[in-house]
This record gives sequence, structure tokens and C-alpha cells, in this order.
Amino acid sequence: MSNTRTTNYDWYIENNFNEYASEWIAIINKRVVGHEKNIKTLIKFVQDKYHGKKPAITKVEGMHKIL
Amino acid sequence: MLTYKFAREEIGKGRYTYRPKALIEIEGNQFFPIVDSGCDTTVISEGFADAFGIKKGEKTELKAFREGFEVYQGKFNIRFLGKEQRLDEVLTDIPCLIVPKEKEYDEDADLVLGIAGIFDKSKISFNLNKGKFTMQRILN
Repeated sequence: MSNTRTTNYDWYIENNFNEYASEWIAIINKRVVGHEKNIKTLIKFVQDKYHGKKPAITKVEGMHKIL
Repeated sequence: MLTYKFAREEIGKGRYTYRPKALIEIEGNQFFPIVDSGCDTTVISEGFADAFGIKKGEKTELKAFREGFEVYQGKFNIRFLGKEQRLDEVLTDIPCLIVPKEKEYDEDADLVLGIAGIFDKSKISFNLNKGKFTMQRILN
């Protein structure tokens, strides 16, 4: 099920993002365009650099179990 | 009906877990939060609340395992995205707990979708064997 609505979601599910553990990442067109520990900083960065684009944003868990 | 997937995520060298991740939209931004049937209320970070104008209400206590800490109460709206727009489900006034920033941590808390306002308005069925879970709005 890959279409423009689910493209970034499907790509995220199928790939490994350990290099960004414990960070928020912003994805545009199946590419990580930014990563920060603070979501507000990340959103500002993306707004400044990719005017008008709305990225997919998600937190990459650290390599540990969560409650 | 909405169908989402489990993400296979590493929790140690060569050890993996599977986490159910939804596809939602808030103010035009997509997010892939964990859907947690063991979490009473949705949890968001203060940074997330600030970024999307979610008002901080009264303080309350959030207990996680043995530790409790102070959080704010809030509410917000979520659009659950389907493959096509006609399948989308919008849930409004979902209660949430807002985890304040702490000086010793520079890392924001994750977005976790809990029971209140979500599980009571939807039938959610997990099927890890198929790597999927489904969500269907219950009409009251």
C-alpha cells in the first residue's frame, strides 16, 4: 500500500533508523531531512529550510525496551 | 477500516521488538505514534504541545512503573490517515498528558496514543503475526 499519503510511513516501517536513536526525525519524500532531540527545534529547522513543506515527523526510540 | 503496521525495532545487539505504529496527521504534519493499549491516556511532550498550540491545563500525576511525576492535562484533535482521504477518521478532544521539559534531559518525550478518547471510540485489533493492526470507528 504505497501512495503519496503512506509513502513516508511505509518507508519508515521498512527501514532502520538506529543512527537517530532518541531523536525526532523529519522525513520528506523518503529522505530524513532533519533530526533533533527537541521537536520544536526540528519543526523550525524544516520550516526555515523547506518552506511550506509539511514533513512526516517521528521519534526514533533508543535501543532499549520501553514500558 | 484503517490498517496500520508494526515496526520492527532494535532494542539491543541482535534483539528486536515490534511496535504498533499508526499514521496520523496534526496540522498537516504526519506522525507515526505508538498505539499503546496499556497506557491510560495519550502522552505528549511539552515541546510537542508548544509546537501545535495545545494548551496546558491543570496539573496531575503520571505514574510510570514505580515513579510518579507531575504533568499537565490537555486535549487535542487527531486525524487518523487511511490509504485514501475518504477512509480518514478524525477524533476530537482526545485527552492527553503533557510531560514538562526537564533541565537534566534535552530529549523530548515520545508521542504515545493511549486509551482515553481513542480506544473507547474505536475497535482496535492487533495481529502481530500479520504485522498489522486495524482500527474501526465505533458509532455511538
